[in-house]
Amino acid sequence: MSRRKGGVVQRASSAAIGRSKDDNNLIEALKLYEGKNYKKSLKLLDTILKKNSSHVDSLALKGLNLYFTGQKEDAESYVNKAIDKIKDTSASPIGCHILGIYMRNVKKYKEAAEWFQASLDNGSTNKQIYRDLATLYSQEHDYKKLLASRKAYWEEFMGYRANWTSLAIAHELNGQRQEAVNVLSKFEELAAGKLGDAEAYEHNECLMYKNDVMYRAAKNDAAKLESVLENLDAIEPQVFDKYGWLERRAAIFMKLNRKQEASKVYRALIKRNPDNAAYYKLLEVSLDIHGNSKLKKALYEKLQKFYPRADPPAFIPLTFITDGDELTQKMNDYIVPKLKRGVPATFCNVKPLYKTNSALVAPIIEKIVTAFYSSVDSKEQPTQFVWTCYFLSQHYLLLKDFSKATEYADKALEHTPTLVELYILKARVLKHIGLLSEAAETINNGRKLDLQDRFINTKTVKYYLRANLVEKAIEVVSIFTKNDESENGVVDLHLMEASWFIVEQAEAYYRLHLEHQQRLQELENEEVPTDEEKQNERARCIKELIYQTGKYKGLALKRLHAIPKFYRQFEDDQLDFHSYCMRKGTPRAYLEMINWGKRVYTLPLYVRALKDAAKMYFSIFDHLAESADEENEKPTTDSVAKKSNKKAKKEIAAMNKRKEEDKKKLKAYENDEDVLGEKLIATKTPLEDFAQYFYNAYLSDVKDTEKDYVLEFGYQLRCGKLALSLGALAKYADVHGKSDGMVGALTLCLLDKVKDSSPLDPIAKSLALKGLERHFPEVPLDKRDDADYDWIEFFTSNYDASNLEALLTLYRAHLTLVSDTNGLKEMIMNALGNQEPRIQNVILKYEL
Amino acid sequence: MPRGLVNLDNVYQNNLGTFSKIIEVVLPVFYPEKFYNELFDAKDKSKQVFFSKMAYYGEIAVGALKAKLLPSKSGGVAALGVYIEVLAVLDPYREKGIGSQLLQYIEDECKEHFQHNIYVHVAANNEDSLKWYQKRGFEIEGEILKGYYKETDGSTDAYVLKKHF
Repeated sequence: MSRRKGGVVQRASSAAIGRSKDDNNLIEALKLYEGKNYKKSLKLLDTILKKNSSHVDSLALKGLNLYFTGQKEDAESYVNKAIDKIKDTSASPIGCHILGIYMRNVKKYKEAAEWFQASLDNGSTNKQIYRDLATLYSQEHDYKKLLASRKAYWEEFMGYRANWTSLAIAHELNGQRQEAVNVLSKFEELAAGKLGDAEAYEHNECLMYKNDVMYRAAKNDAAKLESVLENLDAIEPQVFDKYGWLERRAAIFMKLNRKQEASKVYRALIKRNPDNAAYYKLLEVSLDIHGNSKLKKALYEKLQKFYPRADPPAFIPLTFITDGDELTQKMNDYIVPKLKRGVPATFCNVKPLYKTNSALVAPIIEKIVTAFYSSVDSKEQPTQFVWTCYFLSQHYLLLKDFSKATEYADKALEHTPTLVELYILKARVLKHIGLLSEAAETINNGRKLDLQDRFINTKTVKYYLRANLVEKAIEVVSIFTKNDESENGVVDLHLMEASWFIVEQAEAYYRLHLEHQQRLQELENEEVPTDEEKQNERARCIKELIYQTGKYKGLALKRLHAIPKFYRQFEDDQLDFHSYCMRKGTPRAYLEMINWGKRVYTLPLYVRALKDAAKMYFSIFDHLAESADEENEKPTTDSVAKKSNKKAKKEIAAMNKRKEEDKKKLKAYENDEDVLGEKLIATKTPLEDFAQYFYNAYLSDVKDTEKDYVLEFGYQLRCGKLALSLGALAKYADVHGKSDGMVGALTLCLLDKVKDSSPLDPIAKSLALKGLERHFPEVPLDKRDDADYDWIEFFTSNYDASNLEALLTLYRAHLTLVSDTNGLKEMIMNALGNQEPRIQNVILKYEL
Repeated sequence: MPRGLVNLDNVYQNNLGTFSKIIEVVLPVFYPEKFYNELFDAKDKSKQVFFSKMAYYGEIAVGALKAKLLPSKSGGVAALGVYIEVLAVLDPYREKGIGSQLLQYIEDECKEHFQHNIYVHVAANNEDSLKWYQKRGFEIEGEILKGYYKETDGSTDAYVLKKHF
């Protein structure tokens, strides 16, 4: 922190002579700020501003001081005042610098960079600014300007290796690989013979980095590759990363088509680490035998003799042998010794085989293990018995034979009830059967065996959340959190960025919201009883349900909003590394981070939260649209509603009290104003909110090939951008084929909007229609306003109608094209038949 | 030091769940929570001395032992002996020397505390246990106690067994 704030005073004092009194006072104030005497600095600034209320530098510095004393809103207003007084960026270099520092602290990196740049442009001689500027440009991925500032800084301070390394990286980020190599080589020349032991590691990293750059620059050019190889040989004695060195060597040989030499290197790598399966695969390729099972078999038999304790040579043959008898033999040799040793993870080892060729592999494994099972005596070899049951249960679970999976899990549990793994397994089986609460109870029993086992604690929490038992989940998770200032661990989990918990909780809250909403609707549809007592009871129930429905909805969205905050933090956390990695000399790791940083918003958990948020925001949008349609909202004049004033007041007070209690229990942050997410769900601009908080970040990071086009379609359709929806649909069809069920469903959704009766702009409609005609000529577009045309019939005969997701999309969309929802429902039920009970339950409960 | 297949370890507050699980599964008698918690109850003023161990077969917890020092009836300083409250081993893991090792631990503790008597109650119909203890030098002392066990699925009657050394 102190480093970041540094630099201002040094340059200011150097030019102190010949300034006005205000400026001299400002420099005093700056010194006080530097020494973290914010209060004194503010006092001094106030005396300046009293005389001269438009002294820009003082206003800016006051803002900065206020920021550090925690008055962030006042800070902003002073900074804005300062900026208002500046024409473009023509202020004093000190003022610009102060504004830059403020902007960086509030994480407005782009503005910060602008002000730092302005400070230099306006004549600041403080060269340290270049380094700060480079950091900011790195964070903003503005590589061109990054290079300029790195270069300027390097020219000033050539005596530090970090500056050479960072200049080289900046060149590479701009695609100037040769320049990068030149810079690195030049430094090597200068430093030759002057490096001590302390710098040896940094030197090794930089040497390897230079080789990386050369290798990337060489592409497939043989002559260049030769020189990369030469360089590699030359640096060998200084390189610590022997794996990286060998891998590079082999890769060059492969590119030069010197496969025999490559194979030797791969053998050397295997010798160093016989458990890395990737080396074996690469060896196959270098020996040119990856298509020949016979030769491969011979190779692995040999390797197995060399490395009898390594897993890959024994396992890899199982992936390519197709002859049943032979595979049985090999499989037996692989599995049985493990079971004899009682290895718990035996099943996990063979699990990948089920994925590629279940029809062949599953019966073989089943035969081997059941045979072994019947040969084991539960008393003579108790551990073998238990782990074999464990294996078989997992095997049957994977094959969805739930009764057998239960049978073996129970056998194992009865045999050894003190083994945590067995409870986890039993719970998993129960989960797949759809018995979520039972699953949670089972795993909780396992948790009680050993309270300090954090793994099962976490698992238990997850199972409770899946079963919508949120309170229990919080109770259990709070055992491992810091709960000093709050009633439970939720605040701490937000602080610790425990996104797994928060997403699960959001989803649980959303399910609870749906459940309460259903109950509410059912109750509202019931006939109103005549008895006054019962009427009162009913009104009370309705009120309660309304409160719960809203609360859970708000909480779900509230939790989802926590996720983008974490990811923004991950992105921000890179800031320090733009200079740290240079100083420590770890350019390779740094580049890895840069590439990771460009993709944070496409990481699976973020996408999951994104989709959940889309579901919620879209439904808010759809409801807003609906209620706008129904001008006359249903009258809320319940006969019982007219109560005496006093009673009503009492009820309101009770409700408020309850809300306060809920808030205490459910808060996620200290000093949060919207604990229950009420403001979030009350939005009138759901699509804009969704884009701002969730979607834009995803769009900026995601590649075209991996984008979720169904989501994009839904978003654009609701925005009324028919052409963009069509674009998303066409892209989806390109990837998944035109007969994919989703293509059909989305086409109908789009067509529904293009209908003459749809209120959208006619020009947009006709454009979309033209596009549909071009992309999907097989769709009878002219029938769109024909009320008698059977679109379901069209859907089933042209698309894959067993696609559950597609059917659900159609069902949720409430199209005017498809008035017969019962038919659709039936189709969904049919498609559900192939799903496991867990999924069936979810859909029956929350969708239909 | 190489570890054998069977090992003893302390009972901790955190794995008390495992400890009670073994006892629940093996013995027909129901023990209240207090029975387990008293091992760690700092507020307990009675100053009882407990001996407890869990036995592991490989990595799996399979045996549990809880015993205590019997104070003398007259309130004197010298204790009466050591009383085994529970000694249980999961059924599939018996005949592997686990129970003997637990018993050995108790006998070692006896020597450490200068005790010469070990007592244990065994349900009257539990012939395997009776034989097991008798084989290890225990003898039935006194008459059968009618209705000794209150909450049990097995026999309510019990014998007192004693080993003197």
